[in-house]
Amino acid sequence: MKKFLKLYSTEVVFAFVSLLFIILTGTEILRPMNITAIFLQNSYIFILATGMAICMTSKENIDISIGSFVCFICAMGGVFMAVTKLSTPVSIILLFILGILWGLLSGYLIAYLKIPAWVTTLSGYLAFRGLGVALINTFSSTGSIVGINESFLKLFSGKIFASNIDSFGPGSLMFCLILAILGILYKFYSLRKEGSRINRSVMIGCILAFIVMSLIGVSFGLTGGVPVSFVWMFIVVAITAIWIERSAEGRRLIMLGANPENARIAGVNVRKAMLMTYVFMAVCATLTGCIVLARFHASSSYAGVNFEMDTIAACAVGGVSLYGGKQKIFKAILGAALIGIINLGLSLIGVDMNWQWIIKGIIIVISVSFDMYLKKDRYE
Amino acid sequence: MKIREFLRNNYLFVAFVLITILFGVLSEGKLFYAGNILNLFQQNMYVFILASGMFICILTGGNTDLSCGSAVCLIGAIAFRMMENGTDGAVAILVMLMIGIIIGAIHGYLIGRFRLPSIIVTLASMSIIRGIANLILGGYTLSVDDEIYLKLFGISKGFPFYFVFVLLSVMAAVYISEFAPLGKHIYALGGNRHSARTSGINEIKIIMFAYIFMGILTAIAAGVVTGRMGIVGPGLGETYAMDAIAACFIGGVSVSGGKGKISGVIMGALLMGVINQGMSIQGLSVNYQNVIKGIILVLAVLSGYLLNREGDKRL
Repeated sequence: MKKFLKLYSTEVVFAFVSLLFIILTGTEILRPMNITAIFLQNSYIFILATGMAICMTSKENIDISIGSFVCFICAMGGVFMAVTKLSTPVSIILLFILGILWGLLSGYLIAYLKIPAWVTTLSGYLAFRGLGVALINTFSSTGSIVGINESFLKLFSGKIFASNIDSFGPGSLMFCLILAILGILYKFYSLRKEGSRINRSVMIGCILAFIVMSLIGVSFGLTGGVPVSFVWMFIVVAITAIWIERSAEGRRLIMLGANPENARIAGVNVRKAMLMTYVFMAVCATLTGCIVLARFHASSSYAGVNFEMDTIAACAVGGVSLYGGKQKIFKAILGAALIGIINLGLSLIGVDMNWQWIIKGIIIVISVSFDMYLKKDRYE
Repeated sequence: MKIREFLRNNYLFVAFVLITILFGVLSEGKLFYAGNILNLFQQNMYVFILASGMFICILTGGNTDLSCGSAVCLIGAIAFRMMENGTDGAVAILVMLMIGIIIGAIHGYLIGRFRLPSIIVTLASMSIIRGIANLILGGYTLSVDDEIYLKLFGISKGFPFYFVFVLLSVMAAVYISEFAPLGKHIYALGGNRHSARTSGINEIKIIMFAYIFMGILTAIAAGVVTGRMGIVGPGLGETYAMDAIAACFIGGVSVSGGKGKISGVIMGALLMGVINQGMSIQGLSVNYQNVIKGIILVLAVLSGYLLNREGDKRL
């Protein structure tokens, strides 16, 4: 029993919570519009959770500045495009340069100067929120900068395979099915590379994934196309999974997480690897900032509020160990989907914002404690 | 070499003098008006109180409490709601203390017993506590007119009880860290967890103690802050945790625990007070204040590292 829970805790919780919300909302949550909304409204959790899972690979590392950094990127995007009238490509490049700079700075402070991650990112949490809100207040009197370039909006918040809302768009379904097949093929390929056989649980997983993806495709098809944020999300996840599992760099990272001392002796440049995780995290946060900016059509001072909570909750539920080691990106994604369902479900039921905070806090504490309970012998 | 030596031993004092002069000049001497100096103390009482508690928490091994600002809001909100419904002020104060102790005990149990990272536990509890506080306030700002409460915590004329509370909190931290045998254990645990455990120090007990102490001080800070203002509103205490943590790190407390003196923390709290007050006199908006505080937090830790150049326990 314990072994089963250890392996499939996230899946069990996911099934349980989904069922709970299906009952509580009276199957309202299963409507195509709401399934699309999970990805439309919560794409940020998926992208940030991927980054955070990478970040948490090495022990004691965490980034709580992401929510504020998203707000800062939104503000800067507004300043670039609406105030100084820069073209879209230039703005995007500038935003990502900003992201990489912050990643390098925080990574340098954490990996090279050995300032604990929580102190560094706590100061980022404070400073970027202040900076973002101050920028927005400087350039606008209403608390939001409007007038973002059309092409930017298209790139980060539009829909591809767009179809009429009334009719069914087969393009979206095809697209999702192709993604599902690619994912399954990749899974088979990596299993073969590792020399393990395709057993029953893998087959069940693949079939389930295929069914879920086709359901998502149908929902997208019924609601007017695939949201671009979903595509971005998929790109980030795919790149990360391949990077972590297939590249030497990723292997080093996992080694660093499993045992930093051994990794150092084996010749891994521990500091550089740690720095890279923060750069990656900051790039994810920048992408999220772009998506949020495009979704709101304006830079708002409320952008990114509590994103760090959602992300940490997603990682905690997804069994991303806080003590480093091999992280499963897939589980973090499942955790993110879970938080997305909880967010949507709670707002469908009409639960107060404050209750949502309370529930998410409790989720974090319980899932972290559970993770600890399963691994008790390892860390005592 | 000599300058470096001097700086290493007295950098806090040097920084304090420099920053005080800076804000003194910027405000054209307004900082040194008697009213402003009194204000400086009254408005930053919470920094002294919370920093004393945070100091003990950090000493036990880099454990932190991000939720103390939200807890100040929750404790104040509960007390004000009770007094609004006719509860006696003395009872309300007892309830405040109880809540502080309960919050601290929960934190301590999760962090000490289950070895959960304090940053995650207190981040989660920050969200929980803020949510409960907002539910209790219901979006309104509550005020108080209970005589006992205002007399004890308020800043009206008469004996300045609030000063006693600040002094008591700081003295308790001084006693624990300097004189009590428990303090030695706390230092030992923060310095080297493994050897401390091997030599029979009860880790769970000590971390429980540190967080319960923090909880009590949070309750006191809640009383002092709400008593001074006479109101509790949503959003109270959002930067309090940050101020307390910054005060500790400015005061030279090691981020991984086990090193640091309460005298440094007091100095750090004073410095935070001067910075807070100076920025308010300059009319800097809260946003820029947050930016500056964030930078100060990193600089404080960084300067400690650069001045000491000691190997950290982290890899």
